[in-house]
This record gives sequence, C-alpha cells and structure tokens, in this order.
Amino acid sequence: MTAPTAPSPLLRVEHLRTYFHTRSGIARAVDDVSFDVYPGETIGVVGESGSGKSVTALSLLRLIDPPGRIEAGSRIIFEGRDLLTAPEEDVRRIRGNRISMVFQEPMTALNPVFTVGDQVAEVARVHDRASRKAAWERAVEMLSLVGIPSPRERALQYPHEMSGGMRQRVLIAMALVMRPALLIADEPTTALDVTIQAQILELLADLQQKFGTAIVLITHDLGVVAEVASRALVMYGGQVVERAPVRELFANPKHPYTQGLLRAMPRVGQGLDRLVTIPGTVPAPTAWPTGCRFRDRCPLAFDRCATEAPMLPDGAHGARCHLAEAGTPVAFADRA
Amino acid sequence: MTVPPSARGATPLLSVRNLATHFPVRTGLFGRPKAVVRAVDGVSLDVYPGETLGIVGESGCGKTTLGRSILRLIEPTAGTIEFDGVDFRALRGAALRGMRRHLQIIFQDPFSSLNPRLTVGTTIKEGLLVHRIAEGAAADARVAKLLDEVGMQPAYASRYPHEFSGGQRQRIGIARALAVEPKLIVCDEPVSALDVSVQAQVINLLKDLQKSRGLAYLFIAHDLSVVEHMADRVAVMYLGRVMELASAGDLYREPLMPYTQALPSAVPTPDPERKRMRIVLSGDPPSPANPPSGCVFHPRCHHPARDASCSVIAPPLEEKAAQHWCACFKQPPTVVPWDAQKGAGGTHPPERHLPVQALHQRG
Amino acid sequence: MADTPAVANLAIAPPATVVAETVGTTRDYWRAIWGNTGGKVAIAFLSLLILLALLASVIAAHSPSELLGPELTSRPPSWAYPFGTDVLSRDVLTRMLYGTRISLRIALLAATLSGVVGLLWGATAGYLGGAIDALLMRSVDMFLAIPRVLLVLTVVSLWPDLSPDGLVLVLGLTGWFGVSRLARAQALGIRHREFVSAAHALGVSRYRVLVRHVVPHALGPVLVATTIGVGHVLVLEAGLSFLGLGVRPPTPTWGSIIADGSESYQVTWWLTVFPGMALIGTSLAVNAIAHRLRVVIHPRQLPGR
Repeated sequence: MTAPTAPSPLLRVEHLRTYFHTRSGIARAVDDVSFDVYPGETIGVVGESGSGKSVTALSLLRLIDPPGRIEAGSRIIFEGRDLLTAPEEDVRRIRGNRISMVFQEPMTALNPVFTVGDQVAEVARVHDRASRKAAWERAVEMLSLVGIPSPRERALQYPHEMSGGMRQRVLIAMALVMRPALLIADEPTTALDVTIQAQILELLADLQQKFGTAIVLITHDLGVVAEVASRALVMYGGQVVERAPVRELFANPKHPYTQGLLRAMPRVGQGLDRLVTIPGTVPAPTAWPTGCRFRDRCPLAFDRCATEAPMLPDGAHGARCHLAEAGTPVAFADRA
Repeated sequence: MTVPPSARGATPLLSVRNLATHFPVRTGLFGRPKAVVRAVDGVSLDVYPGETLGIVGESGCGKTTLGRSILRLIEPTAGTIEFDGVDFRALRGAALRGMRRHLQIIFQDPFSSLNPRLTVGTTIKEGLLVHRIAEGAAADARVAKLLDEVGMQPAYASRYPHEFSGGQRQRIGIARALAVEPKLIVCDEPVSALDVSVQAQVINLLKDLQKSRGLAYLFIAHDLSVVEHMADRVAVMYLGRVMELASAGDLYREPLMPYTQALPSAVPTPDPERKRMRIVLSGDPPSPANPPSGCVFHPRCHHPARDASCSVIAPPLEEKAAQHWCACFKQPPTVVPWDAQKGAGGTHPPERHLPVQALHQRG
Repeated sequence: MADTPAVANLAIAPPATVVAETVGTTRDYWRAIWGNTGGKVAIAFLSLLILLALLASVIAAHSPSELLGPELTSRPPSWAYPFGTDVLSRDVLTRMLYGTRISLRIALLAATLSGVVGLLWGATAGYLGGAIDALLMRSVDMFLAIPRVLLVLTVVSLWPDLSPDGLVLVLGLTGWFGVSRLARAQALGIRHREFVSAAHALGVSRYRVLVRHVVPHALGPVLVATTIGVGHVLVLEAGLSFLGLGVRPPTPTWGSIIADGSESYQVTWWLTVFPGMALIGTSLAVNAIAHRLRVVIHPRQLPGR
C-alpha cells in the first residue's frame, strides 16, 4: 500500500505556501508544505483547528479566495503538470474530473432545490458532455455504487429528504462520477454519528479498491487515520511536523506534538485518572513563534528551538524537531 | 417501568422517573399538531452525590433534550424529577428560580453559550447577584477566585468573550456554572467542539472540580471514549429511551444490548495494530416522530434471536446482572416469558449473545 | 473543529462566528460614524443645527412673532435681515432659529418614543413567543395596514389645540410598528441561544433576561431604524404644518414657515428655500448616520469599515 518504490507520484506538492494578507497582518496559514501522493494510496492529513490542513486541501484545487494567495515558489504537480501555472480554464476541467473533493457538511454542499439525481448527473453532463438520459443513468448507477438502496427512486429525492449519512453518500457519488485519480476528502465523517461514520469509512475503502483512486483524507481524528490511511502527515502551525507510515506513526511518534496528541485522547479501557494535556493553545497564524512553532507548548524545548527552525528531513518517517534524529524522548509522560 | 434501584444504598441526589418530553410537529394551515416527536420517552435514572452519570447516544437520541428537560429549560410532558428530596417539577416562580442554583449546565457550543455583549466578569457575576450570594467588591473577589479555579487569569474579568479561544470560553462557562455553588451540573457535550489537545485540558479540569467540590455530573456526550473516561455509570440512549445502564467498566467490558455492542466497535481507535471484528450497523436511526413498534432498535438489530416478537413487545429495562440494566428480552434473564414472546410471533427463544470478547481480542 | 478557508476563521483570535457577531458597544458605533468623512460632515451639520437651536434666544435679534412694521413685509434677504422677512413682516432668520428648535425637538422625541416602544414591544413578543407573541404582533399588523399619514391626519384633525408635545405623542405612537418587527426578529434570533438558556438555568427571572440579554441584542437595528425615523418624522411634521394641521401658529416650525410663503413662492422664494434646505440637509445627515451605524451591525454588507 505504501508506494514510495513506485517511481512517479500522482501528486507532488512542493513548498506550498498559502498566505492570507489581512489587516491584522499576514496569516501564514500554510507555510512550506511538501508531500507526495502515490496512485491508489490513502494519505491522512491530521491536525487541529488552525493547523492549515483545510487550507492545504483547498490550495490543491486552487480554491483560495482573496485575501488568501498561494505564494510564488509553490508548486503543485499533478499528472506531470503544475496546477499553479496552468490556465484557470484547465484547472476547472481538472476539478471534479481528475481531482474531486468531498466536504464536511453534506447539507450545505448540496443544492436544496435540485434532486440528488440531477446533481450527480450534472457532473457527468459538465465533464463528459453526456446526454441527459445517459447522465441520469450514470447517476443512478453511482448512487447504487455508493450503497444507496433503491437508487432509482432515491435519485428523485431532494437533499432534505435524506439523512446525513445518505447525503454524504450522494456527495461521494458526485465526487466519483468521473472516476478521478485523486479524491480530497475534507473531514468527510466529522458531522456524522459513529455508526454512520463507520459505514462511510468502509464505503470509501471499498470504492478505492474498485476504482484505484488515491485519497487525501483531511481529519482531526487520529483514530480515523489509523483505520483508513497507509501514510500520514501531522500538521501544526501551517507546517507538516511529522510524516510517517501509519503504523510507524502510532508505534513510534517522533514529534513531541504527535506524542502529546496521542496521549491526550481518552481511550476505552485506558483506566487513567487524568489525561495528558498539551498546555496552552495554538498561536495565531499571524504570529507564529520564531524557530520551532511548537516550542512554547513543548516540554522538551531548549535554546536552539527558539533560534533555529527545525526542518522536516526526507525519508519515510521524519519529524520537524531538533531532537528527532536521535529519536525524541517521551515528551508527555502519563500521569496515573 | 422498572426503576434502577440505588447502586450504593445512598440516597440519590437526582431521581428521574418516567420522564417524557414530546414536541408537537405543527404543519398545515392552522398549525394543528399533526404528529408528535417523542424526543424523550419514559426515562428513569438516578444520580448520586459526587458521581458522574454518563449519557451516550447518537444525534437525535434525545440526550440533549433529556438534560434540558431535567433542568426544566424545556418543560417535560410527563414524569417526575426529584432533586435533593424536592419535587422539582412542582416548583413555580421564585421557588423554582431559587432551586435552580443547585442544578447548573455547561453547554457544547463555546460561542453561543456566552453573551457577546457582556464582559466575562459580568457573565460570571450574574448568578451571584440574582441569588444574593455576593455583591459589589465581594462579588468581584468571588469572580477572581472562580477564574483562578478554572485556570484563567483574574484580570480576564474585564474582557469580552470574543477575545478568547474555544477552550477558554468553555472555562468561562464552567466558572459561570460554579458561581452559584451547584450540587449537580449537566454537562451537555462540553468538549465535543474542542480540539483534542484542549479537550484533555477541559476534561481534567472537570475531574478536578468534581473532586474538590464534590459535584455530581450528568455527562452527556456522543464520544464513547470521553464518557468512559469521565463516568462512573453510563446510560445508553436510543430514540428517546434508555437501552442499557451499567457501571462504565461493565458496560464497556460486557455490553448486553446489541446496540451497545455495535457502538464501541464503530469508534475508530488510534491503534492501527488492533484489528477487530467490527459490527457495522446497517441503516440510519429512525425518526423519533415515527419510531418502530416494539423494540425501537429491532430494524437495525443483529441479535441472533431477533424475531417477529421484537416488533411487537416493547422491552422493559430490566436487571440482567448485578447493577447492569438492559432493555432486551432476547438477552436472558428476562421477565417477558417465552410464552408471551411466542404469542407475539416469536420463533427464537432468548439466547445469551456476547460478541464483545471477540471484539476486544487484539490481533 | 475543522478550520475553514475564510481568512477570519484561521483561528486568529476571534474565530468564525465572532465576525458576524458584532459586540456593538457605544464606542463601535461612534467609531463607525466619526471614522468616515460623510459621517463627520453629518455630525458637524447636526451639531451646528442643535447649537443654533439651543442658542436661538441669544442669537436672534428679534422675537419669533415680532412684527417689524408694514414697510418691512416680504423683504428679500439683506444684510439687516439675512433670510428676509415674511408677509407679516417677521424676521425669517429668527423664525428659522426658533423653528429649528421646535422641528428638531419634535423629530428627535417622536423618533425616540417610536424606538423605545417598538423595541420593548417587539423584544417582549419575540422573547416570550407563543400566544403573547401572536397577540402583540397581530395588533401591529393591524396598525400597519393603515397608512401612517392617514392615521396621523385623523388624530390630528380630531385633536383641538394640538401642542408640540401632543404632536410628539401622535407622531411617536404611530411610528413604532416597523421598529417592533425588527426588534422581534432580533429577539427570536437569540431566544434559543445558549446564553439565554444559561441565564434561565441560573434562575434569572424572565424580566431580567429580557432587559439584560434580549433588549441589548435588539438595540443595534432599532437604533438604525430610529435614526432613519428622525428624518421621516421631520418631513411628516413639516407636511402637517404646511397643511396647517401641525403645531398651531404663530409658533414657527420649518413646515409652517414654508406654508407662510406658499401663496407667493415665486416671489418670496426665501420663505421656501431656507427651511427647505434645512429639511433636506437634516434628512441627508440623519440618513448618513444611519448608514454608518448599519456598518456596525452588518459589517459584511458594506465596504470601508
């Protein structure tokens, strides 16, 4: 599943920087993010609010509105061409066709005045110039593929007549009509209940098997990453602070932030009286600390962290931390 | 309905019996109620002094409505609420307002729960002034002490809510509830809007406050791991009813309801090594406006003995093991006799069903 | 939990909801008005008018009903009589100064009365809801079905010997129906907000919740409506006085001065132009201020905050 041996990545992001030029200063929401996505793999991007994970996702499709701007020097190479220098018209053709996106809120992402069948069919009509009838048949087929029972009847329903889980299935159907090479899923299950979340995650894995789609899964939930992704990026302060194969990440987290996150989650059967906490809150993106952006919350911080920004080393498993090369000591100890 | 008796022989602080909250759905030209949503439908539970009773369930199961009905922020349709020996539902006017200081609430949304126009100090002070607990400089000193207690600088009293992060706002909401020195706090999803790193801070704070102040919590959440961490006992709700009630340890070790068995298996855990048998429940929870007949869970149930009688007989909440209550007459022992089940079309006799050991084996 | 793309949501201290949620302190309103050239001009103009009105008895060379003599009837503006004189040989500048006092006083008081009544009525209806809401708002609907001018004309023509304060009552009590709808919409919006529930859970009485939480929340839009209302009342009062139904002569108001010159306005243009300019200028200034106030309430609708 991990495919670093495969010679050419499907998507290569290099030094992506997306800044928001606001009155209160420049918000460096995404600041020098680089990663590869290989065909057919699932890569999890984990982070809390303000980590820059959603802005990264939107940047991949060039969906950044002013005052946001993808800065010069950023490169997003998809199937051999740089999406950032391509004409808008070409990028528009790629969106929903070669790369598609699923959003968090299945209600607002659907248009309430059209039937779900119309909305799925619309994608085929736009990108494939399919006839009305052919597009409708495609829509029904997709709805059936995403596990909607009696799809022919359900296609005639409006979004408000469906449950949250069903609406998310419709969105996934829309995203996959064109059999895209890459699916960007931004918190696709956050708004759903756990039993429905389990259904949707299983569906995504199934469809990936069927179509060979690569998935970039953006989430705040380390549990979701553990279940579905083969590789993971942990984001903090607009940067990737750790990149690792999923098993490695959970077995041997190198960045103090990753260690803290893993220990801060309550787990069934853990039997701890107190949870481990990461002190403080995420700083504002207009005022990241100098040096390492995590240093004022890190129990292991020392002089060098304030003066010198650590780099993310190459290789399968790396962390943006001065202590990582030798293997970071345990930053957040369990307290019983 | 049978009632879970005292777990520890002590007198409960809060006793809820057969509580129901129904909302009329008005449609049609003249707004006549056409249907009734049974948001809470016959819930009985006790909360003992100093304990945490967790309430878990998916959205629409009525857990939030239950919390607000107990506080009478939403007026219940039927049932009794006894708090500290007082019939809470019988109180009116000033007597009700006076009693309210003993039952407080912490909300989920840290943005909508604070009035944006009032300073933090004014917000925390409101309860002090209304109940004449302190006034003037004494009230300000109380506010400073409360802020300190929830881990915030006393100087923040003069600031406005928008200057704070979600976690800090949640602390302010906790200080507001603590100001009137309650005995019970309904925590309505207090950490589900927070990031993981901040969530742990607030959970620890709630635990510390419980210890130092001897508070009882009714802790409502959809996140099973958070509830297991917080609660002494847990009630599982589905479509307005309590399906299972047991100590947190028992419930997670040996869940009896097929629904409770499926819930933890659906939660993704941050442990890729752990490969489990997962019960993926099919379908969506039905609408509380039109609940299934008999056992409300039967359309999604995977119990091997499920049969036609499940759609006819409503299962009572009964004690299956010591202090372990469950509403399923296919899980023995049961007070619903086999003859009665057969009479309702039953074809499978009750059968002990515990897939959970398999679930927890590490692979 | 998820970060969203809009810039304000990037966890820069106040996140998403805060932007739509203006605190709306007095300082915010003042800054919105004074931080803008149009707002400054409007404030300066109104301040000047109010100052002149207050100092009328000091500045004016004559008394408002003093007849200067037959040789001084209908004189055009001159150095001695900068705004000219009227048919009865009264000094128009003097009458303008005193008229400003009456006109502004009526307009401000009547609009304020409308604002207060509308705010309380609507906030109560929206907050209490149910049958009380239905009762309060249906009665508003009933009054809104009658044109305001018709309502005012009826009352005024039935009221013998109408004093300026009586006129304030009539204009004020016919102008709050729209305001109450605004206030109700605001109250409905926060009625189910959790801080209102929190106040109930604390044992705060309904009256106190209404006063402390609901009314302040509705204040912003009501303030804008009231400011616009000042302009409306001003024009309405002028119209009534023009028809001879407003404040009784010889008390001067802008409308009555125009009325005095209406028979011969082609000749005695100064009787129309000066009060007319005052009316237009004040209406513009008041609307400019209302426009700026709206910036505080709906920061996204208007550029240049």
